[in-house]
Amino acid sequence: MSGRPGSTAPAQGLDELIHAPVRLAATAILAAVEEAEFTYLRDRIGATDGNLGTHLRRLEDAGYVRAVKSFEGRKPITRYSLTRDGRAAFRRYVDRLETMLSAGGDGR
Amino acid sequence: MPDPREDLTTIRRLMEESQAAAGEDGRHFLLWGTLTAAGLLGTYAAVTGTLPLDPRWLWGLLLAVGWIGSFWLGYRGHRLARVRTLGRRLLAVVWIAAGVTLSLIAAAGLFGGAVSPRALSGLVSVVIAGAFLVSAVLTGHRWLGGVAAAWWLGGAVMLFLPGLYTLPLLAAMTIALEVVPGVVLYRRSRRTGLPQPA
Repeated sequence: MSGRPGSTAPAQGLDELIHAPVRLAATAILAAVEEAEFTYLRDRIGATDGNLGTHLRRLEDAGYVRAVKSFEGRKPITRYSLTRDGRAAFRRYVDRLETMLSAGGDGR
Repeated sequence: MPDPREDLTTIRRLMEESQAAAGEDGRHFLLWGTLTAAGLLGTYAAVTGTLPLDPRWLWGLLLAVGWIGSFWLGYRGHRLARVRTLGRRLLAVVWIAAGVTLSLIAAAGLFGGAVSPRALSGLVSVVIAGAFLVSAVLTGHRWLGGVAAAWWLGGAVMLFLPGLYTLPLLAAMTIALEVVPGVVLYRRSRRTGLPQPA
């Protein structure tokens, strides 16, 4: 799930980093909260550990997401939050979707 | 091709669910509601001579238990929360502020300060009403707004018609308007698994 079949996201002016379904879901969740655990994101999105980890790493590499690792007893926990750049990118993505919707219906 | 309508719907749903995930789970309401009702009934029993106890000691003990319990629940909830939101933090701040205010009012009333004991029940009621109204807005549980209105109504009655009857009345209100909402929120959180163990 690294992208959408036949995606024309860049041509539509949509940020390709956010546009992939798993990354879009993760970004939307993180935009609504201050921080969320990896397991929470995984359960809400319904992705596998490996798949989600790969997508989150891409967002992290792009500077959209910050990861903080800690231990709860012996259990490792990773909490994710959106960076300032990530929030701005998500805002732009939503604005672009709204513009597309008001300009041309559902964009199909 | 992207479907903006579908994407926006998905985005809004995920955001709303995530904000709700950090809502109130009712444990603080259960704790404080139970302690307050016990304190009010104990005070009524002491004032009417049914029980030979000093209400000041009773409230001192109950407030200490309440605050220790609240801090423990808050600390544990923050540590174990899988998701943290600004709304959750604001909610905690509102109830801490209400709790400090109520503790000060109660202490001033019990130890002969500037607050008349006759006004205590009414004042307690209206402070709790305000905190419930803010909770309704922050959690999205609109029915808590109705709970707030009931607290204000009861508070108005007790402020305009003070008397000994306000002690058992406030105890009944505490059970109906704090413990019961606490049970509802707790059961909901257990069922949906969304709110955090706070």
